[in-house]
Amino acid sequence: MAAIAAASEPPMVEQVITEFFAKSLHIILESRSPYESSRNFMRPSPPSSPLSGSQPRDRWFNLALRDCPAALENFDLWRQSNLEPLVIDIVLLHRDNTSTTTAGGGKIIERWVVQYETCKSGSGNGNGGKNNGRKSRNNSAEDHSLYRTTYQGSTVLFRSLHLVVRLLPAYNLFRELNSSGRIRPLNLSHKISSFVEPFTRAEDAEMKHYSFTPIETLFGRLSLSVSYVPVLEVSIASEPTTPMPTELIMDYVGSPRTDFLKKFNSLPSAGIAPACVAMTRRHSWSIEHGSGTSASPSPPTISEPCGSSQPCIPSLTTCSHPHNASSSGQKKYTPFEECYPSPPLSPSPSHSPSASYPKNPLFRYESAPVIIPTGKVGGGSGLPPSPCWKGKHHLSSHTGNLAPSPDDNSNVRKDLVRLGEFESGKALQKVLSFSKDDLGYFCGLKLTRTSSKLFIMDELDERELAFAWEDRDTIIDQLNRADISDREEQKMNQDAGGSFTRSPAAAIGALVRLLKTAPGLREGVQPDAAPISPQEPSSVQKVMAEEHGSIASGSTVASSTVASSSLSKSRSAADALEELKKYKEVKESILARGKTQPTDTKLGEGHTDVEP
Amino acid sequence: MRCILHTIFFHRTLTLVRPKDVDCGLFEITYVQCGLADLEKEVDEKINQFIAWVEKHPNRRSQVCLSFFDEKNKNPCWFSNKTERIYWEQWFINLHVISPKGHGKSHSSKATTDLGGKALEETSSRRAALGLLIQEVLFQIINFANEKKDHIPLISDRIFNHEIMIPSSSDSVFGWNADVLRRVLNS
Repeated sequence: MAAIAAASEPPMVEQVITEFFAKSLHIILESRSPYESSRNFMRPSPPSSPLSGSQPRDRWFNLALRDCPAALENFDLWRQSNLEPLVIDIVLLHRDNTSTTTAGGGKIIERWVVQYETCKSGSGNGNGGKNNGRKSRNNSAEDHSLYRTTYQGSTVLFRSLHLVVRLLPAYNLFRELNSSGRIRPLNLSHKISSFVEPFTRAEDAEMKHYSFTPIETLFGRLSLSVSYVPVLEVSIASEPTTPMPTELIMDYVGSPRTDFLKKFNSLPSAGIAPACVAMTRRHSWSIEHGSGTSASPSPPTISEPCGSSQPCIPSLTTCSHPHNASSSGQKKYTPFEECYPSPPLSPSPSHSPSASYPKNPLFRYESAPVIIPTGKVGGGSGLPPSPCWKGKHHLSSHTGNLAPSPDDNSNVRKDLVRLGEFESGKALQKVLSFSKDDLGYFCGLKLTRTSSKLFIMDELDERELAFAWEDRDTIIDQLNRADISDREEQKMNQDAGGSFTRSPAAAIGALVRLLKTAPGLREGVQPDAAPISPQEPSSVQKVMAEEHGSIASGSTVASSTVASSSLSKSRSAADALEELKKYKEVKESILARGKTQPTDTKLGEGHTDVEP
Repeated sequence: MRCILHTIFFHRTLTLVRPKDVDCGLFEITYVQCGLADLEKEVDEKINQFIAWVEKHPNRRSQVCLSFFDEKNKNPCWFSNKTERIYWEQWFINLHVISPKGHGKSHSSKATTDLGGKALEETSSRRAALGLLIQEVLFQIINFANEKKDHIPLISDRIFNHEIMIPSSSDSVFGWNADVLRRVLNS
């Protein structure tokens, strides 16, 4: 019967019938099978030409669809006969606690039945004159006409099918599952069979039915119907373990090498201004971090005001990184605080909490063991919380003490220094770090008179303090030339008789370039941290003593550097870089000397400045 | 309007198309377009014209007619060579556009708030009801489009000749009927 019925249809119509089943399955699964169609979910549709990119099978019924789902790949092989109905069950599965979908435990929310129904009366030729019109297959014109009718009718039907699958409730669920990458407690699956498993009474009562107008053929008709649950009361909420979605961190700091430059290059104001801006941004970022926990890598002097005065702004993702980064370094940070509980002279971090917090993110970005001489942050520094950090502490205290000036720019300058350090990776640390006292210089002199005192009281002897005090003006000039300036520094320079004539943007750019090209400090810092730190004060002392004591000594480099630093303020960035290099050399020489020469802890008070 | 017109076109554009799903967020309906830019442009233009007409004639019943036709040359006369349009399918979309009414005066701010909240609820419920209505209309279109197909001309490489008639500004109370009458007289 099946063979006879199949043979009775013209071959062209038989082909239409075969493709009818395939197309039906394709249209249904395309909008019901989330994972199979998701592979091609984003496949762009060429709007101008539906022919472009269309496969041969797409042209059937003039409806170009996305690539065939996996179920269609073996459909032709699986399909035995056109007389068998094609039953497609759309099953709603619930994920259990083990995050696995329970097969067979789902609920059928849709059932599509595609079948070719043969006419009972029609079979073969010559059964009677009543069916002459349908049975006659004598000329190909009639076959062609039949084919056209069947094909065209199927074309319109599939247009309707394509629309209906999108009007039914399951489509929204499909889109929800398909579009979101989240792990959902629900899943849509399908089951293809060739027999209709009857519904239970309850299921049948719940279902609604819709049948498309059948396509009449010579000896039968093609029918398509759907039974569906009209209302899907399911929650598509994601599981609690769903990973957090990607969040856009508006104030993401990013690499200082880029953001730093961007900021610095974008602002035409004083060189510190961009730093201020950068600081501000980092401020918010690290403030949140700082205010998060006590373990946050923020100096005690600053974390407090940060925590108290500044709002938490960025998202948890922003905080998580530094928080995580700092979690390991938490212990490191704490000792800093212990070692350096409070700045001798209440540095007014409250004035410029932005000054300090930027270190934190900077250090974090730099990845853990970036040793920022300011150090209270511990800046993710990998250095152990040993006294060797004192230098950093004092440096940080300096910087913290820079803050005391009511002008935030001092903090900005300090931050600038830190930024530079961070950006170079260590270079600036070497240059400006505790170990070499360049920063000691700078800090000592950057510091206002009040801060210099703080400087000394923190880590240095009074001699050092005096030295720093006395060399204040000199070092301020040097700082200016090194493009490490801010408004406070300008004031200081003015007080000292200097003036910062360079454009802020150029200065900052020069500094950035300088810091970028500077070699890393970490390798040198860490191993040297322990041995060096105890010597830091002595190194500083030596430097100061040497500068005070003998201009013609081995520290003539420094003195000459200092001398040379009294050149015209308006020097190019290259000059500043050169000078910085010289400072580095001085530092190294002092370090070397420090190992061999005994410590001279006595600093003469009232020593003259080392100036040419 | 766009949803309805494109659905009809989708059922009567039997050339090879790559369907384009369009989400109508207002009514939470996804309908399908043919993906033909020219057709979309034409529909948008007609809808804009219709909107302009509605704004001039608020709270009036109107009708939009989508017709598919074949053009045939009439018997050439010595003074004219007209082509005849033979409409093989016409879809009449009856609309009654209601303008949202303004809220009455309120005696207190609280009343205003309540009124505003109520209006919002009414709007959302009205929108939901309209969404269901549109869904019903779409199913109606599906039924009509599949009910009779023998009259559809042979599939060609281009879409069928069609026209969208909307009420014009010059129409009087009779709306578009004047235009139809004119066409009948001409034919």
